[in-house]
Amino acid sequence: MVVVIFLLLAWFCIAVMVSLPNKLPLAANFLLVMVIEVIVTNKLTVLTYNLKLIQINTSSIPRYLSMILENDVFVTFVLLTFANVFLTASKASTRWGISVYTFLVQMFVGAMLRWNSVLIYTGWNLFMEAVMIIALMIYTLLMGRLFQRMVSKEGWIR
Amino acid sequence: MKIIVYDNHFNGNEWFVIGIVVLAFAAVWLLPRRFSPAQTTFNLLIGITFGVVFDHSIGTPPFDLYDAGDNSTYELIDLFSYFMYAPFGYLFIYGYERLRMFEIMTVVYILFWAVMSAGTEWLAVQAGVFHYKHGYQLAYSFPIYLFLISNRLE
Repeated sequence: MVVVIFLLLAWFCIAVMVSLPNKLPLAANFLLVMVIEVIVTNKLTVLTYNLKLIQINTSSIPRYLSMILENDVFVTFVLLTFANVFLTASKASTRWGISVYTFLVQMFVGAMLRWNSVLIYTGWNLFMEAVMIIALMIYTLLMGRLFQRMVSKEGWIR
Repeated sequence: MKIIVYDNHFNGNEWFVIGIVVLAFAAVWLLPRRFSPAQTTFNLLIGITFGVVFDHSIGTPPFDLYDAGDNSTYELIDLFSYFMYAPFGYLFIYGYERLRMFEIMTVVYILFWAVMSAGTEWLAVQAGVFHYKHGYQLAYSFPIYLFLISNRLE
């Protein structure tokens, strides 16, 4: 059942991203997905196997798959959506809105991972989670801006 | 998870990683420019991304099929070793464009690069960069390389 929930969440975040009316050029999005994926994967490995602040429930295949879906699909596409909306929006309210949405949805899904015993916090806490999410958002924006400028110089519009 | 220590000096495996990175990036630098900055970035990043995702999927528990570096934990040199994958992605796409591969030659070209990748992995294992565990063998890497290399062309 837990993997079904995270499959639905993965589908939802991809659907939201695909449905956006204004997006960055495709080339920028491809590059952004890759740099997000590298950071998010490394972050998980360092937090779990080096610092041992989080423990992954590897005894259950559905829970492990849920963690993979959340880390490699959900977080990636939520951050991608955030960059696309933030960097193409002209209104400050839109930017604030997507920032708050991105932060809250990641906190909520992180909590869902704990509630379903997918991840166990052995030294991690909500404050650290919040700081990490904000750091990821800032990183995503910086890389998104870089790639947006890079591809716009080459004439990529969409 | 018990930490396995294979080595605790800065020696052959670290120099192998540094050597491959320097040589491969030198090749990328010296070749005539064929791609735009965005395309170049893409060609370099795709190798790193696939390497990171696969290594952190099958190289960590629950699969834990191999370790990289001096011990079973994730170290800075392991992070640096991902830069080895970047030039391979670039050179693969560069060669494909430059040699104007088509149809059946594409299959041969992919096979060639899969063999090259497996060969480099074999050298890396000999140098102590990778340590196979739980029955993992080089032969298992070959179809993974075929799949990843084919994806790059898509």
